[in-house]
Amino acid sequence: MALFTIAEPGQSKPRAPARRKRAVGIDLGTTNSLVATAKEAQADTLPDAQGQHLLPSIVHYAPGHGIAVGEHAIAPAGATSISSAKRLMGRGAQDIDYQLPYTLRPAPDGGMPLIETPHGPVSPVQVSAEILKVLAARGAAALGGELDGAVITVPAYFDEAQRQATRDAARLAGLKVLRLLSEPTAAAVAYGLDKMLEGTIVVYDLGGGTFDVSLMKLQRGVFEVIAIGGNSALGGDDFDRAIANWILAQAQPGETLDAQAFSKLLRIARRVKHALSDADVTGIEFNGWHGEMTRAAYYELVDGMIQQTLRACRRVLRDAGIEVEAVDEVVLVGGATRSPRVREKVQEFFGREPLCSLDPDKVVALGAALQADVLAGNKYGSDMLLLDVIPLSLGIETMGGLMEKIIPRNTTLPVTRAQEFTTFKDGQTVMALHVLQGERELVSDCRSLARFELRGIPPMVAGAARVRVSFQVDADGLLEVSAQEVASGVHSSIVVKPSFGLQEKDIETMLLESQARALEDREQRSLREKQVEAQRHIEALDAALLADGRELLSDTERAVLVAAMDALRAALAGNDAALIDKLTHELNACSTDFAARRMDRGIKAALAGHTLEEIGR
Amino acid sequence: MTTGQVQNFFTLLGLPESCSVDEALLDRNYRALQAQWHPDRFAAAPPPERLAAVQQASLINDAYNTLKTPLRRAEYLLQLNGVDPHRGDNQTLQDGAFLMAQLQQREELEDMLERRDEAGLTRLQKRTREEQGALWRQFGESCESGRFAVALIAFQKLQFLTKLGYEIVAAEDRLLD
Repeated sequence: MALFTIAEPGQSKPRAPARRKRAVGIDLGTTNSLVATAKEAQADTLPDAQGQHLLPSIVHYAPGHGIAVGEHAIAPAGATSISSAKRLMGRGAQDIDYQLPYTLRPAPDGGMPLIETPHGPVSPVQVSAEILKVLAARGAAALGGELDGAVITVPAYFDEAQRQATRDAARLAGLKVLRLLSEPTAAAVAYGLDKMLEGTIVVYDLGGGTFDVSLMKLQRGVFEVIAIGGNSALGGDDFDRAIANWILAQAQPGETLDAQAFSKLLRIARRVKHALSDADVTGIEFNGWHGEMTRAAYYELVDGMIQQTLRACRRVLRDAGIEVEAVDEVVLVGGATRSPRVREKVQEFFGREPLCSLDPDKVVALGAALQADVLAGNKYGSDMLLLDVIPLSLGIETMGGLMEKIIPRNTTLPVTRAQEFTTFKDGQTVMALHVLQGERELVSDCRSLARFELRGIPPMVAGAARVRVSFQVDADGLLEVSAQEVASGVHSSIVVKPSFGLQEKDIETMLLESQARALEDREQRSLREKQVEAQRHIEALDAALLADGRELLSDTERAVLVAAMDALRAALAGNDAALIDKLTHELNACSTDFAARRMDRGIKAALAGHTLEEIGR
Repeated sequence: MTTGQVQNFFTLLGLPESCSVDEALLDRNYRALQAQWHPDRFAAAPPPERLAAVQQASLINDAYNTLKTPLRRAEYLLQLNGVDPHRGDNQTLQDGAFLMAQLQQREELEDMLERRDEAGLTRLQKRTREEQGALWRQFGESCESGRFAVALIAFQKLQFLTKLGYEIVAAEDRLLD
């Protein structure tokens, strides 16, 4: 086995002080995304030119060629802005049971749907790639050069298809992924909890629109997600909405507002919420109505929602078989955990003060940046090692539509498992495998990951061939399958058809297209430049001919020059850059003499007492 | 197993080949090996090295999980000594009295669950644990003296009792809900 012959890490590295690697951590979020970088165990998020750290995860495909990302992508009519693409990553049309402000085109084979845009249908992977490109550019600008790598965070519950889609997006964005890190793990790293020898950690993540709770166990440097829970339809935005509705009920009972008026009211609601963090009561003015809201009234509105998140916490603790007293640390993530009431209730529930010294919007990106710094090799010798587990069991379909588990959930990654299969027909050379992920017994209750077709099995009698299939899941939770016929040693070729992801050839095509578009853009620009230059040349010659053409050129000479000008003028109407180039050169050649004669005449005229300016006119 | 050729898991993790292991040493050696071979240490390395690291780290994980769990460790030890519990002629336990007792205990368990007899469950659990302890001693002694065929029988009984142990815990959970 050649495994032991490879160099030890560090051995092949140059001894000279290497350039510090440019590595970033990226939190690719549903609503907002962030990029951070770390230096000497100190991580910071990077702002854009306007000083904004959060990049709204919104992409706008403008009619024509332009693609805008972030604040600029919030389209006035909202018609073609794509938000929350993360929720579509690695999912099928049947998974989307909620309203979207844009139109989806279901994939013909039940795979990831495409989004209709003025640029034609685009995959959620491409949309995410546009967000990643902007963050990567921000990182490259801050670090002074092209990035060496990035750690991108994914929710702990992301299955293989969703992780693969995230990795594909990074590849389309030209990013080298050092690791896909689970969000709660990143949050724990941001607080330095990886330095704990053993402990039980709860990550409470209340974002704008979703709530996630993860219970992790840290044992000898292994972060293990024991149980997860949450509510995909509950977030801090619901707090604002509850206050807004309360104000509306007080000010204009029984009335409803249009979207624009309601968003104005939401802004007032947010101000009220912030004011009540410090004050017991705050005044409100809305459409001529003057009133006030007390802190008690505010608590009454939100306590029910906070209670719902705590119920999810209790369920997760029960799933894990862990008492609330056994929790060593609670980490707060997500903008809504800024609310003092949320902190108070979380503290009351867990009986300990939660960790909240870091900005809860940035904590995931900060943890990712710390890990990126280690992985890029800037902190060689650091003993930080985050071992992750596979969040859902991996298996294959067997007779009768049942799922047979090959790698159980919570197995430490990376993991390789081999399974032997045999042929059931004489001379069978092809075998099909259906790989699934999930905890349920029935194939129909699990998530289909991919179908593999093994080809080139040596023909034998039924049951004689022994095909050994290896399932390898790497540290990012991504699966690779290889197969070999044991008796003959023949490697079977594998054709993979991912159920929800992009096929390798799709990615290739997208990469080529984006490169081609870049090339096209360059050519377009150079053509425009040539056209402008030629036009200027023709205009100058027109003026010169009008001034001196009759005196300095013979009829033949003038005819040749005019013909050359007409030819170039005609070419300018088209887009043939090579033709424009050629005709410009020809025109230059036949106008050289004329220019020289004009120069001579100018000098003579000057000597005769005229100014150059007069002649030039 | 990850490859045709198998590196002895005990050797890989720097432990003597035995049915009982020094858990602290196992943990320490495992961490040291992962610190060296985990693919994260090769994040910036060329693809062939990365692949080798994934395979090596998988092997280390497999070795650790095998040696960490007593029943899996016992099974592995038997395999190393030419007694594979999964091989055809080794698969069935020929101890009628033991099997009868097993059936009886399972019936008892179901009765207790129906009667919601928590105290009974606790008693059954205690008895099962004692029985397991005795079998583990028997397994250890048989291995030490090289009588692996005898060890196999203890192992098979332990498989039954471990499963019974899980069922008792599950039954207790159901009573608590």
